[in-house]
Amino acid sequence: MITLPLALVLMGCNPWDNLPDNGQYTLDAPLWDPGSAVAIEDGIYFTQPSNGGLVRVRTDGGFDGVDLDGAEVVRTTPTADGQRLVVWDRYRTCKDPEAEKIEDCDDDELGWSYEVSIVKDAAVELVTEIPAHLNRMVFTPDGSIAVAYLDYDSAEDIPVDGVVDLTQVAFIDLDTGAVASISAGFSANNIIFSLDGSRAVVLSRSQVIVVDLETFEKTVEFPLTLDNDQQVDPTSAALTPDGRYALITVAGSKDLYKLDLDVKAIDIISLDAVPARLMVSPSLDRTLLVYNTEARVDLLDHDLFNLDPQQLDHGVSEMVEGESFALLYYGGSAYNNRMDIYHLDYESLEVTEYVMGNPVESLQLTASRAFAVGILRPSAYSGSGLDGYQASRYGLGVVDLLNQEEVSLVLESPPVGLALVEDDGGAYALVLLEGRSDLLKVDLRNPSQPISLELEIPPTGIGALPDGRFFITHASGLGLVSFLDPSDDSISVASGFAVLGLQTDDTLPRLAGQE
Amino acid sequence: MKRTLSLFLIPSLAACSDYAMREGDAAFDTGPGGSWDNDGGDGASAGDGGAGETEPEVEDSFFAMSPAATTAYLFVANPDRDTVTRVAVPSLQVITAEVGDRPIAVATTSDYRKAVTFNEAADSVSVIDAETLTVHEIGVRGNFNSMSLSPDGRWVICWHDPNSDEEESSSSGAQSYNEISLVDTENLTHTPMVVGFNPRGVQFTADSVSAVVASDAYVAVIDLTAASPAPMRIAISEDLIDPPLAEEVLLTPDGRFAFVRQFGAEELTVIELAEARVERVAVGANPTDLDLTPDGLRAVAVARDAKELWLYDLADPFAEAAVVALPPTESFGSVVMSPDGSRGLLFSTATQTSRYASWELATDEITVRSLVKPVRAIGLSPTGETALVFHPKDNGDTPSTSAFYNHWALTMIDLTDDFFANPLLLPDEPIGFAHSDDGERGYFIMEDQPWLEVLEYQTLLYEDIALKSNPVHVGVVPESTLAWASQEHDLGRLSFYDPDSGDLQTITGFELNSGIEY
Repeated sequence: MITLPLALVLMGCNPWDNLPDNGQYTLDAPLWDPGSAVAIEDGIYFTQPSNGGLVRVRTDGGFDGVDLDGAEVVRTTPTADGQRLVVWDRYRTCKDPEAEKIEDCDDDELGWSYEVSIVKDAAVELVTEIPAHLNRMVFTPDGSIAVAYLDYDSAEDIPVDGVVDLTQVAFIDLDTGAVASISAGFSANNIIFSLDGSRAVVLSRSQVIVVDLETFEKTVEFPLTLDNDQQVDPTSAALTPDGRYALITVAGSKDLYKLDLDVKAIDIISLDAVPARLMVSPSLDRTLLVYNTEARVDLLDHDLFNLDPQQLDHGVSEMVEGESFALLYYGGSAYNNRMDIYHLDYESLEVTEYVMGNPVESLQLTASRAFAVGILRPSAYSGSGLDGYQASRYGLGVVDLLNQEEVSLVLESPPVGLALVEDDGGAYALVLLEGRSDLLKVDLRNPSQPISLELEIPPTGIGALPDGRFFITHASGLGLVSFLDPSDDSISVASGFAVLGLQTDDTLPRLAGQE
Repeated sequence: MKRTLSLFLIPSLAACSDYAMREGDAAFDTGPGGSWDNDGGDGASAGDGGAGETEPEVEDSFFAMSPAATTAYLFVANPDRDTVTRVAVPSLQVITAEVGDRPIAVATTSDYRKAVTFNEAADSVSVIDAETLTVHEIGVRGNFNSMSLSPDGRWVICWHDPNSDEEESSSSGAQSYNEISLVDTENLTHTPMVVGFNPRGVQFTADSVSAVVASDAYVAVIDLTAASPAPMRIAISEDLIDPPLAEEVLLTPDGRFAFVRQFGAEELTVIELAEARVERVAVGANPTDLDLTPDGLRAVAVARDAKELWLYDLADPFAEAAVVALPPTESFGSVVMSPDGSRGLLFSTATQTSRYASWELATDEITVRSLVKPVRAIGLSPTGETALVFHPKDNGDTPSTSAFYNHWALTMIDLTDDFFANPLLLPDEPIGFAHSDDGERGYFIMEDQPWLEVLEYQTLLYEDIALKSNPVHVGVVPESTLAWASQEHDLGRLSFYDPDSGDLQTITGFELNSGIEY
């Protein structure tokens, strides 16, 4: 809970005339949510939990509120092309056409209406309605079509207005707002697209459907079992580069389903273990399969679909792809003390092993693919002495892929953010640490001597901007974002944007029949 | 004693290149002009030798659920889904077509244009265009469990095989065990008819002009050129009270004569089909096998107790037969002929002796050789240059010190190199065998063993090809070297092995295709 004394008014005029209680106003929620930051081409958007608003912060330090016609933001996500912002929002409605304020409306007539707004340049371009429970979206490669679906695992609650069809997904043309709802099967939460954007493959429990993205019509329905009592839950899926085959892993199974979308046929490839991850490599034209329990990566060719295993020292669960290689590491349980990063060269199919100081939690590649930078997490097996010191702490791992060298740095505190930057002058990792007010800039060619960039207020997160700069959010109640130009380490600031739209009243934004 | 069939190889009849070796199936030679052999009767009625020598010789087996192959496709019936899956070779593209309820058998025509299923629960036959998968369903009489297809693919006969393992769906009302259904797959017509109690097997002439259905006491001849085909029933025994049951029927390639071997008889019944003329010709004591020479000019009967071979000239089967004496110390009850007809191999599956003999037809020279174990079955490669001897787990006269004691075994014999042999110890029972048309390789599978075993006939070497699960059937795609093995999997599994490249391709889950909607 935040209490704002009027003395902290930052604006030139006084917009608080309507505040009650002798100028003292108590907020039930923060003025802004730094974790909601979404950077698109025209700026960074933050949600305002206290009033349900949305604010855009420009990189020149200015900011704008987004008029959602009285609606409040539920969640946001950027479109695939980074040009627009998709906003799930909701607004109060009353069935009583005479009611103009919420207090005029009986409780049993009061409700919520949900909509999706497409925002660009801090203005609503398009509003469309989709079922309220569809809480996630994926986008076609060109960003022109979105598919909304229910991700139950991330759903705080499922808004129910009468009935909810849990098999439903919605296809949205982001240029026209046209929506087509399709019954795709129970728990349809995995959608992939062909590279040419002509069709979508929607995976649900025990079935897969193919949707033509020109007509939004279901063209094929594949069963994953013929036993109605059996549940086959897809866990990951990918299309081969030619778009012909969908490869699907299922929960707890060694079966890899191969769906021929052209001939409309199913084949099941038997694996030796339950795969942890599947990744189609367009440059290799093979699919990589890794396992928690098997010390190898399988290369599945897209012609005969034979498996070509490459041995590793231990099982891995995650993959990151460069243009001509893949990096493999284990990102699972800390009790598996697996610290290796494997470099699989696509041309020679040789595997190079890099041993880090601690297990890898996450891994990123620089733009040139010359460096890989990973967050290292404390090991469950701390040991003693210097080994124990390192094992018990977070770290930063840097792999020089050109010179085949690796360095593991020990971090003072857990990292709260990592961003990579690379230009003609060099390649750097920007690291934010919990409890520190500075930003560490690590030269990836010489990672042992990081530079400290002082920040006035402790940071809470870091992200990249489309123009190559970075934004850093800070723990400031009224809104504070720093912009870092990595070319000269200069920092500019935008602040006070969180108070925008603080004034609220209980007027119903849209009267009954006018929604 | 009733004895079930266990193993058979028909190397000289290469029209069908895959065979099964399952216990308990009815014995039936699928080739035109071949023979039908029922060993399910009481062997005690024949012969006068010791216990082993009263046993009938075990010959071939037929199984219903094997996939059926053309040069371009493999057809797999899915009884639980009421569908047939077509797998294209070599692309392995899979398409599924709906047929009648519970298709328990699928066959392809010799011209590879059609596949036919017998749908047991629907009492129907589905005729499927191999290319377009267009399906026509024709109803048949109830209570059948087997299907036979004429060589030209036009005619199907559905019948009740008392030795079939296939369980029939429950039916109501009256039932007959004397009927068959004749289906014309071109005009899509059905003709039911009564042929005699317990039809034991169906034969077509090579030109598909006639069909012969042998039952316990009758041979029914069907003229397939007639406007309305009807059976001409010919009694095969003069004993109206307790006729000896037919054990084996052999139809000559030209369809003129049928030879009938009966339990306990010392004569063969020869029927001139056109005239319905029934005559009996002498054969030695306890005839246990009856075969055609590959040129179709002679019939060969093995008289086990008489220790003789009887050869009948099919141009005049009633003429006196030539007799070849067998070694007096041996008991051979079966014969297989080399494809060129120059040689026969003699053996016994009943006497549990570890010996076989070669018979040179040009000189009638008989040479006896030893084996590591008794014989379960013998087959010859299509070139006739290699013999395969399958041995049972039972030991017979195998010494307990032998490495093969209490083991299944297989022996490859090079007939071109002084009968040099390579015996192989097997971990389990062979259940299926096939060889490629070029005679270069043989393939077999074993019970509960996830391997496709490849036999190299030139070198007498073998190779294990690992399969994803236990095999059920094995075969070779016609006119190619590509071998296939169907395997255990709830949703269907087929593997294709290319011996030239060594590649094994497996498709799994093709029954799911029946559930694809578009």
